[in-house]
Amino acid sequence: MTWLAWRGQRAQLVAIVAAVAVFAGWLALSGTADQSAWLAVSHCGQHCSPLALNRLSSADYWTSPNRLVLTFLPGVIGLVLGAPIVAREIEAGTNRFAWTQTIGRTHWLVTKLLVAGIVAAGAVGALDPLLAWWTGAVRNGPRILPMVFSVTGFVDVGYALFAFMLGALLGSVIRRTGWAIVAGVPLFVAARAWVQFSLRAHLAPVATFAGGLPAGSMIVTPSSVSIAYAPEPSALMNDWQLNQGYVPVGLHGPAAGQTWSTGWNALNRCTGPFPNGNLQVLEQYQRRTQHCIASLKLHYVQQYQPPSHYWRIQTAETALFVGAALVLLGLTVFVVRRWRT
Amino acid sequence: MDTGNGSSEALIRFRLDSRSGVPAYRQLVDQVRHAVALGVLRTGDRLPSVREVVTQITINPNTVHRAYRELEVAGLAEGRPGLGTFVVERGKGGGHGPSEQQGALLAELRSWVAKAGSAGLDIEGVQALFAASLDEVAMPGETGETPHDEKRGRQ
Amino acid sequence: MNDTATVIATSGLSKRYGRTWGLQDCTFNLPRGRIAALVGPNGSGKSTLLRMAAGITRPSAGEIRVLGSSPLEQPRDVLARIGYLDQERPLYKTFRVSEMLRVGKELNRRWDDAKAHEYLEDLGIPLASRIGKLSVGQQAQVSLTLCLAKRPELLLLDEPVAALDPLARSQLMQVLLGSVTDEGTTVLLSSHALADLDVVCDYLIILSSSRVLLAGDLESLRAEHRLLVGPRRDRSNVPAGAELVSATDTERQSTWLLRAIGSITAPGSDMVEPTLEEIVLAYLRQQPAGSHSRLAGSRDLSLADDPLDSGEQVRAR
Repeated sequence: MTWLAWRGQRAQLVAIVAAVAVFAGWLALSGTADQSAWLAVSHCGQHCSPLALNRLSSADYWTSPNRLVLTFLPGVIGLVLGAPIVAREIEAGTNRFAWTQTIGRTHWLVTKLLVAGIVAAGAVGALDPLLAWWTGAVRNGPRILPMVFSVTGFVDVGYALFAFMLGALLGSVIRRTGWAIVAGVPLFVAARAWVQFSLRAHLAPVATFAGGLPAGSMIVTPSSVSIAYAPEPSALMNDWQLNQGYVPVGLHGPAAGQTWSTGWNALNRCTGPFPNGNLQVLEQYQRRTQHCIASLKLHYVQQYQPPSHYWRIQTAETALFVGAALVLLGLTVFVVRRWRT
Repeated sequence: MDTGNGSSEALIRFRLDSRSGVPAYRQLVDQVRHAVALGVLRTGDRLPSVREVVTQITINPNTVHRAYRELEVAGLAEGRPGLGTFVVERGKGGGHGPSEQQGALLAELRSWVAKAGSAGLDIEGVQALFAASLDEVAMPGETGETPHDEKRGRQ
Repeated sequence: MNDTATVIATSGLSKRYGRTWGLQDCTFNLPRGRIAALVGPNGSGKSTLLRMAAGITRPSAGEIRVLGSSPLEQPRDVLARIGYLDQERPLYKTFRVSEMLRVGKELNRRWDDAKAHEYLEDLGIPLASRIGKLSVGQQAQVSLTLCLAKRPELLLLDEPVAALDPLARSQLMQVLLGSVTDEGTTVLLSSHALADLDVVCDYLIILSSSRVLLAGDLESLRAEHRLLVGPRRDRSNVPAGAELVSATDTERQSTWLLRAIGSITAPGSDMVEPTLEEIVLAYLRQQPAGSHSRLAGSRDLSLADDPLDSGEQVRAR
């Protein structure tokens, strides 16, 4: 049965592996170009030649599209390999042959799923070491940040397996390969988006940084003739900032019944609108702001996930998607066993 | 697989006329009797195996079994386990070629056919008369109540 | 119940698709060793019945037992012992013939690889060809080989010779009957080729409008039915002890199919034993009482002009 599972899916498995290999080659090429362009620019500092800058900008041009492809690649691979597993056989009518042989449907299905699933996971996983290098080479930024997180580490294997089983289940229910993929796309995107934007922040304990000023707030010193802006606290560099704002002193988040904007709104009501004007007007505003903060008993707090939580969140998110894939596997087996005209 | 040319070992080839109305097993029995009467099959010859017959003419194997059983009952054939079914003559010595009696009958029949022809009968007419007399006259060795179908002139 | 003398036993077997019935109240017992013909117009429920026997279709009502087990509840027991050939003869079109045989070997416990290769070699089907490039007849042979190499006790064949040219048809039947002779396999096959079936089959099931019109040993059925051909008779003038199945009357002549257990006499007319074709056509011409009937004398069966069909048809019951 292993031979049949391979031989029956050979065409698409080989195609996917080839496509991934081609894309990997492309990433290596464009990544190397970008890497050397960045290096050149980092050496010349403030006095870079237009040539070097041009080179960087054209090399960097591909980073965003590549990242976009990488974001969707595991989903596409999974759906494309998963959907035909059952649907293709039903479309061609060959299930009426395969399911009247001695072997039984569960064995047939599980073997097909294993062979294709391993290829899907493997193709995506094989890219991961390359991506670990690539993300640094193109200066994608801190790994913990959402857009980079999804294309680094091993979480993409979880995405691929989930999309794969989603495709297989939809294929066995809808019984049409094309429509299964079409239906799978929004479902997969929705699942990914929900995890990324709602769940991921909570997959590791949220860290808090209290005190200081919101980054970018204006600092006016009476004796200075210029305006400075508060920098990001060095403790928070490379962190994934989740929430930030003014909350009651003693708390690390909004009070019960309040939101993160409650503090901002209260502060703005106290200080009034941001004034136009000269340095003195701005300095008065700054004092008024500090007075309001003290009288309202607020302090500035940031919630974030630090880079040290990266692997923990990777593991948790991967486990989530793999767990969901296993549930879908059970459902698919159930649907196939029950299939009758 | 036999492509229809017959095994080199089979001594006779059966054919079935599915439109004649005569049951298939009956046709096989008749063809064996006919072959024996004409001397095509002699005592000790092996009839085609069931497998061979089924391959020659796509027919139910049970039908062949039945025909061979009837030949055994009639004393015309004998089944030897593992070897096949063989022709045996029913007592009338030798069986090498048609007997004198049969030769005389044949001559009589030929002249009758000629007479019928000159009386204006065509082939169908002759066959109808022949079938009618077969129906009416009881022949030795007939088993069962199988009705003979006349040719009903259907085309 | 593991009564293996009866290979297929159905009782009130029915299948409903939405509002329409695919098969209604089907009851028969097919004994072992028979070659059974399943005949009827398209859409009469033949494929549905075969698929229920193979476990691909779930009955809506009634019961079916194949080789003593339920195809639905004990598929493992049943599938290992049957060979099912679907009407569409599904095969993996991109596979080579040799690979297709390997599929059969991998999917089945009992598999006679040598026989499978022998069959195809004798037919001259090259093992290296792709299935998609074979002719319809060759594909049908490959499909049949995949069934036969399983050494099944029961073959379920859905129109195995449909769309085959006469030579291919003959070759397929040869292979089938040769295998049946060797193994004693029981066969249930659906077909429109009535003339061919007459000498091949010894059990008959007639379906029409999803109902079973007749089922039984062909020889008993033949013995129970008589074709009465004679001068025109009145429909009420049915010979004593007989039941009128179907009647065809011209101005001068009547051709009736009668059914009786004992002997029937009709002086002045001929009484002959009907062929399978004549029995089937007569029953199919009946219009089922009370149901929305097809056109009288529907000719879904692909035969040459039926010489009995002239004049009016009649409702027999």
